[in-house]
Amino acid sequence: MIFKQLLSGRQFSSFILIKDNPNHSAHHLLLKIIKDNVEKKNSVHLFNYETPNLSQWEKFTSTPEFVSHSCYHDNWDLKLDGFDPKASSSWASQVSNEEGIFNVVIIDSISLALEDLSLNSVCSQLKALKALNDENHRTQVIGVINTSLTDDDTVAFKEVNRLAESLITLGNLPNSFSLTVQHRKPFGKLMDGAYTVNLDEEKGFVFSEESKTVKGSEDIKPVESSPQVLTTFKLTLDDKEKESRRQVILPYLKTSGGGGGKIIYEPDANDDWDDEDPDDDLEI
Amino acid sequence: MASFIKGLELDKEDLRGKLFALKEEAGSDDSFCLSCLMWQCLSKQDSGLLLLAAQRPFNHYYHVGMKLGYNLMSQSKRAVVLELGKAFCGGSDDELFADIGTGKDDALKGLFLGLKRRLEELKSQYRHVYFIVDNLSSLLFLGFTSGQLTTLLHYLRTLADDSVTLVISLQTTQDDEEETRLSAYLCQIADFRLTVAPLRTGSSQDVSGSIELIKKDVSKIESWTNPMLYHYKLSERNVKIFLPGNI
Repeated sequence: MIFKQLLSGRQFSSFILIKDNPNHSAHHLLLKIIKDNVEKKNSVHLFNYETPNLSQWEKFTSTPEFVSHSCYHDNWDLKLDGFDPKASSSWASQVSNEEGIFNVVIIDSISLALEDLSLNSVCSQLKALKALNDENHRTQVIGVINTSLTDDDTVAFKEVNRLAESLITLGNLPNSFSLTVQHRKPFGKLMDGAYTVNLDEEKGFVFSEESKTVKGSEDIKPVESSPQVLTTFKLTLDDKEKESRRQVILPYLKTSGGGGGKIIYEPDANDDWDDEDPDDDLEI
Repeated sequence: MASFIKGLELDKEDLRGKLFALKEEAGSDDSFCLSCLMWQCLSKQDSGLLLLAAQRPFNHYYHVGMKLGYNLMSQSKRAVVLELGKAFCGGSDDELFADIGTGKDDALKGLFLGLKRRLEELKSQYRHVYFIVDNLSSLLFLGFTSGQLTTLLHYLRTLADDSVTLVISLQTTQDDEEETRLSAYLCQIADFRLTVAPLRTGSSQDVSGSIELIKKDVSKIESWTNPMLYHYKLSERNVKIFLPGNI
C-alpha cells in the first residue's frame, strides 16, 4: 500500500508532488500530512502562497513543530499588512539543518509560487531542498500544483514533475473522490495505486485501496498510445480464446506427426519426358 | 430579485469575507447576476456598494436598477460607481484611472490603491460593503496582460474582509489564452464560482441559459460542493431560477 507507506515514512520520497484540480482541493490531504508529522515531532515548514492569512492552518499555529512562512508576495512593493516583502530568502535557507531533525517542507502551492518566481528559481530551490538530504539529515518536500494554473502540457509542470519522486493526483477517477499515487523507486521501478478517500467525523481523512500494481520501468507507457484504445476493433484474445487457439491442429502438422513419409511418382503415359539439359542454353 | 438569491440558495450563506467569481461564457450575458447582487446589497439599509464599471456606462446600471426597484442616482452616497469609460473621454478627473490606457504596472497600482481608499471610506460608514468589479476582462483590452491582472487579483482578494463581499466578473472565450488564464486564477482563489452560459442545445423560449454554481465547503473532502446546474429565464423585471426540467 504505497500511499500508506509514503504517509508513514516507511517509503521515503524526497519530493512528493500533489496535483489537485479546480474541483478537488489538496487541503484535507495537507492537513492529514501536517497532523501526522506534528504528532511524530517532525519539523513541518509551510510556505504559504495561497492566502494572506493562516486561518485554514490555525489549529497547528500553536504547535512548536509547525512553522509557517507567509509567502504572499508584495510584488508591487506597496508595504501592506499581511504581505511578504518582495526579496524574501530562499526556501532551503529557512529550513533547520540540525542533525537528527526530520524536516517536512510543504509548498502551497507551486503554481502560485510560479506567479511570483521564475521557473528556474523554483526548480533550483526545489533542488536545494532535496540536496539537504544526507546521512544525518532528512528533508521531505511536498508541493501542491494546481492543474487549472499549471497544465500537464506546460513546461513548468514537466520540469517540476521531473524532480518529483512521487506524484499524487487528486480526483482523477469518476464517481468518487479518489486519488492515484505513483512512486518512482531508485533504478526506475514504479509503484502505483488508486485509493478512495473520505472525510470521517471522528477519524478525519480516511482512505481505502482500490487496486495496486508494481511494474518495471519499461512498462511505463501512456495508455493512449496503445492501438487497442485507438480502434473499435478487437485486437487481443482473452484466455479462453487463447486456449481454443492452442487446441487447433494446423493442416500441415496433421501429416508431419506420422513419420517416414515418402513421395512415389508413377509416370503417366502422356508425360512428355525431355532428356535435354534444361540449363543448356545458359552456357555455363 | 429575491428569486435569484433564493433560487441559488445564497440567502443561506454569509457572504461577508467571500470572493465571488462570476464567469460569463461566450454567447451569454451575466449582467443580470450583478444587478441581482446589487439589489441584494441596496435592499439592506446598512450596506454600501462600490462598483468599478469597467465595461458598461453608469446609465446601464441606473436603468436596470430602476426596473428592479432601486435608484442608483438617489443613493449615490452609499452606491459609489466608478466609470472606467469616462476616464477615456475626459469626464473623470479621478487619479484612480491615471495612465490606465498605458498598460503599465503603475496604472494598476494606482487603480488598486484608489479602490482600496474608496472601500475604506464606505467601510467606515456601513456594516457590509459589496465591492463589484464589472468586468475584469475589459482591462485586457486596455493593454494589460493576464499576468499583470493576476497580480491585481492577488491584491484585490485581500480586500474581502469580514465586512466586505468581493464580486469579480469576467468573460471567458475558449480560444483566448489570456482570458482562460485569468479565469483559472480567479476560480482558484474564489469562494463561489458562478458560471453563466448559453444552452448547449440552442436557444429556447422557456429557458434563457444555464448557471453553474460551485461553493467552497471545507467540511467536504474535495473542499468544494458538487457543481449545481440551474436554468434561468429572464423577463422584463424578473429572473426565474429553476432546476433543469422544472419550468
